[in-house]
Amino acid sequence: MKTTIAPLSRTLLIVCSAIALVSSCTINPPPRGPVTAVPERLFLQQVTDTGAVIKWRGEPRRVCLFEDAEKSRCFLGEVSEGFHREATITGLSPDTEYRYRLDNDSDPDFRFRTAPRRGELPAAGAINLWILGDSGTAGQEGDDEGTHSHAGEARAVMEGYRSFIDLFPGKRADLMLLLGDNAYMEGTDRQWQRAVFDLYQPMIFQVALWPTIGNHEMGAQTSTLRGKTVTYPGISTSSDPDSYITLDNRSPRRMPYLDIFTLPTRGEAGGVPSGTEQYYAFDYGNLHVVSLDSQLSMRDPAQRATMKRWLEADLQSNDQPWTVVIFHHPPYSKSSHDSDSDAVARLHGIDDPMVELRREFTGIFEDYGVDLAYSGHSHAYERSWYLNGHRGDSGNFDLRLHAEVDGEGNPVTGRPGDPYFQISPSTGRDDRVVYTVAGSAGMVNTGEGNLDHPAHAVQPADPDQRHGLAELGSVHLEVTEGRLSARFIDTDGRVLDQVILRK
Amino acid sequence: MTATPIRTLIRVFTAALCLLLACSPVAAHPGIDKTVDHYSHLLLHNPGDVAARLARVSLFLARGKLAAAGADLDYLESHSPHINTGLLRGRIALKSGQSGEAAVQFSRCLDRFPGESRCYRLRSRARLALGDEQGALDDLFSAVEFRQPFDPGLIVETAELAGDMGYTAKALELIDNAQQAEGVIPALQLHTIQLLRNQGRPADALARLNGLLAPTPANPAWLFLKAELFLELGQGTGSLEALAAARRALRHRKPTPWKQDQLDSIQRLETLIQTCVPAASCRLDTGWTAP
Repeated sequence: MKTTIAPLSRTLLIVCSAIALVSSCTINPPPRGPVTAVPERLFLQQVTDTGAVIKWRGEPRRVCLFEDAEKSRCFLGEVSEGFHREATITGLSPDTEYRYRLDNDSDPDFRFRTAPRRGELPAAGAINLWILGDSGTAGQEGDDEGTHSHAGEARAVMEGYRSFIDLFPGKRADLMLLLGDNAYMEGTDRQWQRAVFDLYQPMIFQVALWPTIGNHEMGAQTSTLRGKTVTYPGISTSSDPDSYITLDNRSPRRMPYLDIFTLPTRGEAGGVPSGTEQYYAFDYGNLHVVSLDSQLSMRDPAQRATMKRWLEADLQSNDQPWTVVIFHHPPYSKSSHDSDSDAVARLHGIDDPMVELRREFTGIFEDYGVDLAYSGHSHAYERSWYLNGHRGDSGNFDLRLHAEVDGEGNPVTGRPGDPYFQISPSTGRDDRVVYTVAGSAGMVNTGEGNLDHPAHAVQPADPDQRHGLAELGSVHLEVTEGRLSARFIDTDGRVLDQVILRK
Repeated sequence: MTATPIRTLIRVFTAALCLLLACSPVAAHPGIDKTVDHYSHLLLHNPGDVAARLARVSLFLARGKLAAAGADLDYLESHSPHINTGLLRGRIALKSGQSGEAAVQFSRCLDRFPGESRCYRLRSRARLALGDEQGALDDLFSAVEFRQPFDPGLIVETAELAGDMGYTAKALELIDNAQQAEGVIPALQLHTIQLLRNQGRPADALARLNGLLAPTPANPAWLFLKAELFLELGQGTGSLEALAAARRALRHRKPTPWKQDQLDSIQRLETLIQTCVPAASCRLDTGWTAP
């Protein structure tokens, strides 16, 4: 029965939101976001050890930064794509809190903290990241009226994270990673507003957002059904960011994602210049983060080859102790998306990047010492064993060959008391990666999948002890000198899985 | 009428329609054949549904039913002239190995949609498969001209073909122009270095490599490349210094498979240089690569 209901709910999700979109646009104007004393949109980008980019929309023309009680500097907000203003702040000190204010004196003050010096930890002793995959359900039209089946679920995930932080205030996030599909269903500017910029206030005034492109960031394809126009979103197989279309505007145009975010193309935040905002890298203290483009660049052989060259150059130049890679399409999943090649083929191109990533990129991650890889796309939580060399389908997975195992041939779990070591005891090298699918920050849906990919760790918290958790939640990653600790946090703030990687 | 009853009506209607549509095979992805049946049913009732027909084309293509896909495209061409069927037909032909037909279709695309960068790029691939290198190169340059936003992959693809055809200056100019606008991009600059090496210009290649190393002095792979270029210049001492720098850069790196490969390559090159007499002026042929 379970496998019948799951695709049904997915269908409902897609169709209902499309119809709700039509109805809300024509009859019932959607409500605006919460009324605040701040501009419609204010957020931070590229917070490094020496600078930051502050972006906003609205009347204010400049932003002022208060270095202490006496000293302030003001920066004009340059008008940028998508009617944003952005100010590039330079000359800041590492690991230092700054107060800032947009030019209206009546506006409140906001604060952010610069990154620690490259290669170092902050004075507080740890770097904390909040990682959200497929959180975009709050952006679906009609959610305020309760017509959307996932209304409030992204908020519940956020409340779960807040509950966790209430218990552990020292683990408050320093930065947020978005794993794609963060603004359902089509990644319109308005959906970004509701799903991210309205929902995650005031966090996004304080920490930088670092995103990656998901399939729902690339708009929709449409069809007419019994006289009603419905949307089939997230199924673009184009490699061209200018081929974005939506239900209400079928003229191909540039995807809003690229107008909204200001991402490093020239190595501004560390890492090697990529020349494109579609994939990039940055440093934060002793952590190196790489964001790959699995939705567009992965689909064209020439673009993919260039991204791969860049990735290798970036990882060759990277001497940071810890490295995390993010991209949307998971190489290993048995949930709402199935990474096996026959299942991918059945979707006529939509999920091809899952196979391409596995075949062409996982080897690079292993060769260059990537520690953790995060994806979304499948709407559950799946976290792998400590993997090496698994390029085939799930049926080809060999626990003894591809996972770290103990002396008795049992897989090391990575949990407290049984951690993974960056340098694998079995090979003496840093050649293993933990892959996590964290696509349940806005909904849970395992589709036709049974959470049974053998490359993923068995989850004791799952009622059926499967290789994943059908639970809403997000990931909190804590980086210290000798340890990475990643926790999957549910809507009550409980830690349902924890994986530890030690030096 | 207030908004609330309207909203209620919409909810009821939506719920009913959702239940109806929940049986639709489209979103559940049960398999291509059933989905084709679904679209066929739609088209039976509404032959003018462009999106449904386009979707069916892609499904036929995935199933290898080229004739059926072609029939749908014929229909679209006669009824929906705004649809870029040339691009679709070209892709179908290219995928099925019919490069000649693909080139014709992409030309049709460009006749109807001048400046369509994708059609230039794909026609270039078709022409290349047909052995028309010059035509392919011209198309790629046109694709670059019309492409927005900047696409490093397209620049590399174009420069690679230009280089392969012996138009090194043209390839270098293309990349340099791109980098002038976008800043130095290692994936592009490394390509120029290879082009210059192939041309027997290691000094020029070294100058560009030094530009890459300036902001990233501890990239062991680039330091190793520097050692190779020194050898091509007959400067064994410089080569050994670069190898020593590469070793130093690797010293504090984690023990990855790549690090071991680098150390092995450094060891082999150092050994090779030691066999030269005198080692200080050891020279290797241009284009030499690590054993």
